[in-house]
Amino acid sequence: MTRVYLDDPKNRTEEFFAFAKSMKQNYSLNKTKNKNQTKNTNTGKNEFFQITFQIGRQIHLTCLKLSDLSKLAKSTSLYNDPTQQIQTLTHEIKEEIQTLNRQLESVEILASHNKERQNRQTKQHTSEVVGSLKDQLANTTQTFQEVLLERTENLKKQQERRSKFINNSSFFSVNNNTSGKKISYAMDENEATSSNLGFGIDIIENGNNNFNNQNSMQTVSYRESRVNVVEDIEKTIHEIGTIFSRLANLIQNQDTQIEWIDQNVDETLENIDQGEKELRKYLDGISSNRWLIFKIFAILIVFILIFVLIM
Amino acid sequence: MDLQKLQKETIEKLLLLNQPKSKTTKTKFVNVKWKILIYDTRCQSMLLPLFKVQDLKDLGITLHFNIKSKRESIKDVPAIYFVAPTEENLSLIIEDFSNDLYDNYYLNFNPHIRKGSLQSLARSLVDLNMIDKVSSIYDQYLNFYTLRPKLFELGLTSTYYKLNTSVNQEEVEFLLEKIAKGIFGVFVTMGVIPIIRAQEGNAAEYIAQKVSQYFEQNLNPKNVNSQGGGSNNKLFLNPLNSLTGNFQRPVLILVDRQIDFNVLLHHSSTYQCLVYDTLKVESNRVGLRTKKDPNSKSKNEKENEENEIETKGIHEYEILPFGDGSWQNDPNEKKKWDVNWYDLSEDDPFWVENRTRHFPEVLETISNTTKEISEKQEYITSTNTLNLNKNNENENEMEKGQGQEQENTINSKLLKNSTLDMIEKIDIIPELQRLKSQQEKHTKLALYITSQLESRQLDEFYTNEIMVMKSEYTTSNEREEIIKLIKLKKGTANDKMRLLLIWYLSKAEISEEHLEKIKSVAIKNNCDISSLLHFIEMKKFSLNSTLNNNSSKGVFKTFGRMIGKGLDNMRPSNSGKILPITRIVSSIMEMKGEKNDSPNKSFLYLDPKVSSSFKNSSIPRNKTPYKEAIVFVVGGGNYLEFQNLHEYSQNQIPKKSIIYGTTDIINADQFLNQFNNQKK
Repeated sequence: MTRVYLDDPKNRTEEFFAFAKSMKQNYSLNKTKNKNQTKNTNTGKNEFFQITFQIGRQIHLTCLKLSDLSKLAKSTSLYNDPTQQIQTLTHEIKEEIQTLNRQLESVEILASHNKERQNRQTKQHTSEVVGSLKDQLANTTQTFQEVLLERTENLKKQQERRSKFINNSSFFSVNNNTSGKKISYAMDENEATSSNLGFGIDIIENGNNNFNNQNSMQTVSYRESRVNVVEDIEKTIHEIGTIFSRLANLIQNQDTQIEWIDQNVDETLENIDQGEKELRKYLDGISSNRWLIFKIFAILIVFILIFVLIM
Repeated sequence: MDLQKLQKETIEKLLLLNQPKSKTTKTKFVNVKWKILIYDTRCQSMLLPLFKVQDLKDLGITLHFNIKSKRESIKDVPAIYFVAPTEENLSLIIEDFSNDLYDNYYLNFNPHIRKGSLQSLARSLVDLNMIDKVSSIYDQYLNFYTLRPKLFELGLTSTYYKLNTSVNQEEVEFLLEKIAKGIFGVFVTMGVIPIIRAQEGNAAEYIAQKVSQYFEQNLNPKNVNSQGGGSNNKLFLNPLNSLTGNFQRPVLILVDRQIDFNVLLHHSSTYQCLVYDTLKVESNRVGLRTKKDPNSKSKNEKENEENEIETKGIHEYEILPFGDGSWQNDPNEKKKWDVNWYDLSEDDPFWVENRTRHFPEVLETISNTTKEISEKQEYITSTNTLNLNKNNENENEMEKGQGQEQENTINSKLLKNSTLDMIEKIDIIPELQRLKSQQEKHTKLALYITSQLESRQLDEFYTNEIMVMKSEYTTSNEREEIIKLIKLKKGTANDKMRLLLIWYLSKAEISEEHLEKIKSVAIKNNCDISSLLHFIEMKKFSLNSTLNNNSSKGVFKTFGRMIGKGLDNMRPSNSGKILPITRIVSSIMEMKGEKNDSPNKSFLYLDPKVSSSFKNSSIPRNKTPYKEAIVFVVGGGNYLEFQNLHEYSQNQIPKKSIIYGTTDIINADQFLNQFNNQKK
């Protein structure tokens, strides 16, 4: 029994239990019998509900971490870059999401095993629970992707700003190198969830080239522009991917969002009506068969009578 | 003060098992416990405008059932019951316990469970030895329906008829108590104790006394009454909306329907009033059926049809209201129609913006928006060719011998632009889909209304009624006009009766022969004049009482006075018409004094916080003008009144907040049918 909010004046629970107590004193009943019975039937189902409870709580915690990460990713200062924190957080979140995915899959298998023993409403309930958890995980993953995208954009902006500072001398191109690495790592994260393009290595190479060829400014700028273009293409392809997945989600979610509470009642009513009609048809079919059987029996009896008479 | 939001929050609290909300989280999924919700029909109608299936799922409710439906056992799951504490529901609950359907039970009773019922419930559960499974029992005091943020109704039926024509005194008192309880529930949800002003001499006075009594019972700690459970004096100490920061108490204004019948009977010209007039809208939902095309046409043809509706006329589409659904019993009929249910709530921005405008303007807006949407659609579908052409043009320029690098960058820029374009367009698509379905809804509604306008000539009735109310006819002309309209074939019987009643109510005196003539014309044209007979009786009664009784406490004295004044109140002021109810409300809220000619002179003043021992001596009254008011009309209300009050409240400086409530929201047909169906 959960402890309820006692200060609430609308709460009648205490009163209720006071009544119950006064009545119990007039009866003498064995409470222990009932408790044992309930315990035996609970073991199989409890597992499912405990696991779903755990998963739900884990998703919640991951979400909290994600909000922290998004705050960090929004910081756009050139110095004091919290890269280390961001990277550790990103790594943690990615692992958590992967474990949650695996857990959800195992829960689904467990649910389908339980299905044989469950009645229709319990089946509905378990599928709703699993569906809801899946939705929550999908939303979390999507927010994660968005945060990563934001992070990549911020990195790029930082790089642009830095490149403005180093326009005339390539002395500071060391920074270029490291930021190139960061971009590649962030891109890597994106790629882990979408397509696998091997541009990361290219970018690092170009950075190195920048450092070496101090004379050929033109080739540097040319390569930089190429790199930029490639990055843009990759980003747009990735964006298209996310948008399509988002669309698919939207279309699916819109159903439940527009649905009213009593809508499924009408549908079930229709189904019941149809079922009834089918049953009636079958009944008619059977009853007509009955008449046939009677007729056949009558004819048989007539034949037997004739046979006996002849004999 | 948004009553809809308050009610939604109260229900959310109960759906989260009345546990204190955790502070930190901004994320959507706060709770992890999965539960089941069980309600009865009344509570379901209450939930309909507030929650969609997705909202319930966000609160952790996986399945929801009606208490009367056949339910199977779902182990290890807590069940929340949200029902009225009737005998039937209580026995169904006990049955559920005995069948051991769920793990824990959280019972919520609406409005509240009496001590006696609580005891018998406890007894039955002790017999079943299921006391452990009860987790909590709450009273919810939520027996009202909020259809808009500032509009609520109590969901009772035929209140005007029952209160004014019923002979059974007990029945009337029972109904009045029910109304008082409903109003009390509204204030418990808001968490405030108002100052009550009620119209004297009729049902409103009785209800005001009752409501005041309920407040006193719940405030006085020594009062242990049989209705609630002991002292509920804390009901108003912890209001949900303690953040409003408004320490001034609101005023509850109780009026009877008798102050103004015209607003109920008058034909309308604004979009929302026309919708509510011609269609049955329940819980902000309306059902329409459209005839399916016998030959399936291609999409393009259908689109062309929609655009040409203005020119071709409405005969291409046949749209009818869903009605009571009885046409569905015939399977041949059922096949011919497509059914659509539409939502008319605050979620629909077009509805919110255009519902108070005149209908012809709304028609224009609808056709403009449809054009815009089709333009956007074309823009989306015709992209690729444009961009390719651009690419070709630029390539031609390239051939004039420019460097290779520049070509690369320019090409990639073009590619980037075209992909960005595409992304932009893809982003627009879901928004466009939503807009399209919204447009379809309003187009269908507008089509139906236009067809009704044409077939029933509602605009003629509208203009005639306005002329009657402004008394722009000379007396003989008027009668002829009205007789002519009644004889016309167009318009339903109820339309004609409405015009007739407005005319009758505007006259101080009518000679017997004129009255008989009008009656006979009406009967010849198949009009049911029971409503007219009722008003004739009422007038006689009020006239008699004023003749016999000099004191101002006659039952229908205000009725008589208001009939004469009604015309003055319909004269348009600068911003628009001001209805009688708005006048009363404004004079009370602005404390326009107790002058002899002010409409609120005969209004009772009740303050439930003041204990009854002080009542007889002069109570210090509230002197400052009120900023918030809750106006309650006994006997039926409608959206025209609500619109008028709302406009008044928004035009004030500083803005006032007025919540409008009534026993039942009815349109003119429902009002007249209260009288018409009595012969059967």
